[in-house]
Amino acid sequence: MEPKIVLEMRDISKFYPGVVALDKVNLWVRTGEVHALLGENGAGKSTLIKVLSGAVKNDEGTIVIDGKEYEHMTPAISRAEGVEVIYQEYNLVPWLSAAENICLGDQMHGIVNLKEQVKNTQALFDKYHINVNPKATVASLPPAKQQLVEIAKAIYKNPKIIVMDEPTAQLTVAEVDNLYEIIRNLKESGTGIIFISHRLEELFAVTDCITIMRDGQYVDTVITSETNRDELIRLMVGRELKNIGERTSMATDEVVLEVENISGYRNEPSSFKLHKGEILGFAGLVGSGRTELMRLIFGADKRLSGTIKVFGKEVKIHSPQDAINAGIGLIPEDRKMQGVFLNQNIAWNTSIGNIHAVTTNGLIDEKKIRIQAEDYKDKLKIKTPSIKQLVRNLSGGNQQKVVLAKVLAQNNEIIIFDEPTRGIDVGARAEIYELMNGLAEQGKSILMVSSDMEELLGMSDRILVVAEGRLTAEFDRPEFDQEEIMKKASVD
Amino acid sequence: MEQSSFKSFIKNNMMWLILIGIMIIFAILSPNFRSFKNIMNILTQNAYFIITTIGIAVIMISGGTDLSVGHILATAGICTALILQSGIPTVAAIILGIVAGLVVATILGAFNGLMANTLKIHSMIVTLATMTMFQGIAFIISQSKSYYNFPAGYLTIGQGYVGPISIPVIITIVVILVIHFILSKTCFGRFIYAVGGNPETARLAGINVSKIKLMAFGLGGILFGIASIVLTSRGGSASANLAPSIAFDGITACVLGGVSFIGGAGKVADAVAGCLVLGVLSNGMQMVGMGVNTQYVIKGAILLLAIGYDTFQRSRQAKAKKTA
Repeated sequence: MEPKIVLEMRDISKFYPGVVALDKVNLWVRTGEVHALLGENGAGKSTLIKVLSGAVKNDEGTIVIDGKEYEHMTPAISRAEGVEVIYQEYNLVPWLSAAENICLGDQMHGIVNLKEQVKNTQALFDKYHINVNPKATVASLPPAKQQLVEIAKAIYKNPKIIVMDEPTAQLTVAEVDNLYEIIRNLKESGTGIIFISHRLEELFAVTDCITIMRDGQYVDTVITSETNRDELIRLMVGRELKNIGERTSMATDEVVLEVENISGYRNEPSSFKLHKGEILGFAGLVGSGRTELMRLIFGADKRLSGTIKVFGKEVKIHSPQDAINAGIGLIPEDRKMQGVFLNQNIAWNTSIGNIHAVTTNGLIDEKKIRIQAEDYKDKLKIKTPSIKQLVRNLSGGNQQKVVLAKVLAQNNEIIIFDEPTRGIDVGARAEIYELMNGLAEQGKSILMVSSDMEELLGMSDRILVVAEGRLTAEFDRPEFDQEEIMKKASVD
Repeated sequence: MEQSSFKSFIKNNMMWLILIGIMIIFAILSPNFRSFKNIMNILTQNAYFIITTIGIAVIMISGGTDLSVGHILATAGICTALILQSGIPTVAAIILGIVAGLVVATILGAFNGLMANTLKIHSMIVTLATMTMFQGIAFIISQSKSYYNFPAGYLTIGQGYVGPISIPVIITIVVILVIHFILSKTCFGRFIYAVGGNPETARLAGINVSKIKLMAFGLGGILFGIASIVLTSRGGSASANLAPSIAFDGITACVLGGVSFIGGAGKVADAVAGCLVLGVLSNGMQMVGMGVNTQYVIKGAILLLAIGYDTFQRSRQAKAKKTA
């Protein structure tokens, strides 16, 4: 079959209040082609995919599928045109069998024929060498098998275009090979595949060409066989560490926090010290136990062993309340679920972490709340028409600033930043870095978990590496080396 | 983005406007309806219902639900009745009876919260179970009997007047003011909204979530106790079937008044408006001579409309924001 262009996304733009999520992005996919979409977190890959699936409506640009032109997609049109997206989160009904899940769309008319479904599914599994019992309940399958069912479900519909968003994240080596085989099969049948992955070696293993995105913009499309790792990284990062620049360390010799043999269900005993004015970074892969370690220190999860000393004095931390009383604050990893109250306004959110600061004679004083919120709005440059604005209506960066305001209002000496700039636009990111530097200058001490290498290298005075719940290495700033850190973070 | 002040006024006072609308309709249809005596009658009749609903509202704002309310009211009422008829001196019996009613209701209310906390299951499920339990307790201690012949002093609580205003209405007003004050002015009140709005964020902000939940259930319990006293002293009787369907009516009134079913949002005044809409509807429909069964259908339809409109509004807002 002669390859032809099956999908063309032309000059796609998407604007959110204050943020340009996509800025004239282009993507062409041919039949039988595996086309990778590469970019850092927040580069706009997911938004682009959502535009394709109809979950998000683009403000500008056109989408051409198989010669038919659309200004924007809807989920129904997208499906009808043969676009299937396999998301990272599972979209399977856990208590139904694999076969029932895969044939779910067939049941619209008439009676469910279980035998027929199992037969069809088995045929599909045989064709693609998927080793799963069609009758098994999805919930009873391990995550990797669920992922395969998810993929099979998409293939079953004979799509023209399949989008795979980090499909290998849950898979073991053998299953990844299985997936590659599936992909080769699909290629032969002429399906266009959009493949999203952070693992460069995978891109070299299966893809034909790679489109690189950065900060919502289209950077370039390269042919996989004609490029190399270094070029991809250069295109993807595309900038020097200019956002952060050279920072002067404020670290002193005074120890403010001493953690000794602290352990939890997912963490082996770990010990480290934090100095006054220091920014101590924690590197590691997602799931390595960095967040869990922070939560142990903060009293959010149950500690199995270990002691915590603040300013040389042992403190008993059994709850977040205890931690805050000991002078430790937490900017949590998941802003929306753990950081803010979406349905309350900025002022309300700012005051809730230290309510006693805004009371008069034990009663809540709205005037104090207002003054406090205005103060933080100016200090943190929260962009909003009013402090009465519901946090739900703010952009990610401004929501994060509200979380910061809430924690700063607690006046803690030690602040834990867990992924401080995840999903935040470049401008707000720089402001948060500035603020962290300012805090260090004031003599506050910071623990920072980050998956953003640029951020880790740029902001930390020292980096501890976590792998499989253990501290595996320590680097002082002069020794910072991205590759060395990644090596210590990977598990062999 | 900015809503006009007129639009937001309507949105914020929806239930009160509906209430006024319904009252105008009934006032036109029935001369009996628009007398002061009838209005006072509606308020007095619904006093225990309003107080109960406020208790449910507090629990719902904290992110919980209490389906066992009816049986809490009954159990507390029976305990009060047993003391009233125990033969001890009247004044002591009245005081002890009131205290016993309040204490029993508070304990049962807090028990729901305690179970939800320790078993870590939603209070809807917990109270589905305790509802049956409390019902059993009410039948056991009452031996399935009804209690009458309460001392006149006790009956005054439910039947007395201060000037033109009945005592139940005065009690209701005091409850409204006190709970409004607690929710809007105290740290405890603020924490109830926090815990209901997002328990994990609340916990990480240093709030003792279990304690606040337990206290919200306890506070609800106190209000159920007060409602029980108002109800038994007005009706002059107590039994295990004191107020079997009040949990659902109360939740209905809360939902009408915009108290969020998932917690974190709602105002006392709006829950009261929800109660009054239901109360006025029953009274008005009776006044114009509608049958009980027709009343049910109309009540249900209004609930569907009010909630449907609210959800419709919200989804339209969400859409408007997405395309903005």
